[in-house]
Amino acid sequence: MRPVQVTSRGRVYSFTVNYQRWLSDLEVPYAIVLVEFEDHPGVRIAGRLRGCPPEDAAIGMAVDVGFEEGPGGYAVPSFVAVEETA
Amino acid sequence: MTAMDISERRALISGIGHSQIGRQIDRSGFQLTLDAILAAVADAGLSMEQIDGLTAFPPGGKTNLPGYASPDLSEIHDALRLTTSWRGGTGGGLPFSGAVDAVAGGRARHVVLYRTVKEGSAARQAGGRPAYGSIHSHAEGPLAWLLPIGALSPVCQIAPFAARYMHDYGVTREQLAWIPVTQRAHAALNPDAVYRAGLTVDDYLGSRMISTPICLFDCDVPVDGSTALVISSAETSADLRAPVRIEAMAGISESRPFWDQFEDMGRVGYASAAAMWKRTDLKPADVDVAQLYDGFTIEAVWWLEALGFCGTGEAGDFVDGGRRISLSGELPLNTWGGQLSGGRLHAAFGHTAEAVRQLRGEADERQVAGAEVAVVTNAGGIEGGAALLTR
Repeated sequence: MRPVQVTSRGRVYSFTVNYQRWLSDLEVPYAIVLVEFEDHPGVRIAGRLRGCPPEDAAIGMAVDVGFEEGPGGYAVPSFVAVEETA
Repeated sequence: MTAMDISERRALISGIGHSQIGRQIDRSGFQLTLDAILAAVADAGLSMEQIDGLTAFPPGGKTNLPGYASPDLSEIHDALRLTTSWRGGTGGGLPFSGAVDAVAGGRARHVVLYRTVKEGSAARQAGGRPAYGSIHSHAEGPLAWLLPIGALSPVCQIAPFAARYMHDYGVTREQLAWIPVTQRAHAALNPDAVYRAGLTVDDYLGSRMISTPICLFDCDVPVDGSTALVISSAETSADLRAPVRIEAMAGISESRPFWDQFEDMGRVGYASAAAMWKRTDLKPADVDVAQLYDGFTIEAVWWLEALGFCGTGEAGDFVDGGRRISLSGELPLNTWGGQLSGGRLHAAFGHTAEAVRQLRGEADERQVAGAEVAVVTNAGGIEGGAALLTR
């Protein structure tokens, strides 16, 4: 078994915008998106959405792969909204 | 029926019992569990010396949330001074499937199983419903994939299923509101329910959003309480006060067993439902009362469709207005209030107990006249199960 690199644009399969402050220092709201990739069927990754207001999250929207700095030097998976021209 | 061995018909649900149930109860999980078990064994018409099997849900070990774990099996075993020929094992999607297998296979004659929660007290101590990982010093296992992205509660995990379902089939919150609203009306007739004051569609639509599209009234209510069941061998029926038959049961873990990887989030529970119907000649139209798992509103929605009470994507229309799922409707739903109003007794223990009361004709003011067939479900597609119970 070995890891496979996925860098292509993805699409949101589903999402939720979380409003509940589960922890006292949690900043809300934020969107969690489940993202699929055309070139990699069967791969679905969960992450935060950024690059747009969380309320703009939608099924089918295009996103790019991105990472955010997390605590302890770790990188947190996230996705960046892509402006699509009609 | 074919030559298939329907082994669950060699088992009966013979006893149900519960402790005091409330938002916070000043008794330990250990005490609540013993209250429930003593009530269930008496309800079955048995004495404690006749109990020779014991199991609990969850089976033990670490959990992600405070107040979630039932007391240790050995503690309860010791307190009841039991001698058992079978212990442990819930398995198979329904909390009682392991016990059914034990009595059907001759390992035991009367198995007690219990589910005890102290999640109401845990929520008060945490100043709100606790986040995943709040009882761990660091994230490991599946939590390592949840906590960094802010998926801090089961709500965040179930919400994308609800979003996808509503997107695919055009089902609205205005329609789904009728599930919690109707169940609240049922809870008003249940003295053991934790929320009994009236709830309207406007209350629902005006309530705060937890994680879209799931609002406050789509979430079950954390409580303190214990529920116990007694599962007995059908050979012992003459010794039992009012046993209920298990016509068919099935629990299929379909698709990939992770919240974010489930293949089609708009269609959940279909494999368990189909497997259950294959084991009986009864049809959806024969069901008189439905106790469908409702940790969240959307889970009851899936089961309505998966079991064939309406078509895929049609549950919004089916529940709209509440008439069909009311006590006088064609499919009275969660007649005790469900977990949304009755309290999160969890793992279908509350649902199963109510199904037994309805089939016995012991549901008092909320009795569905002439109830002969009840369906009970647990959880969703990942670890779900369904059972058909009869008088």
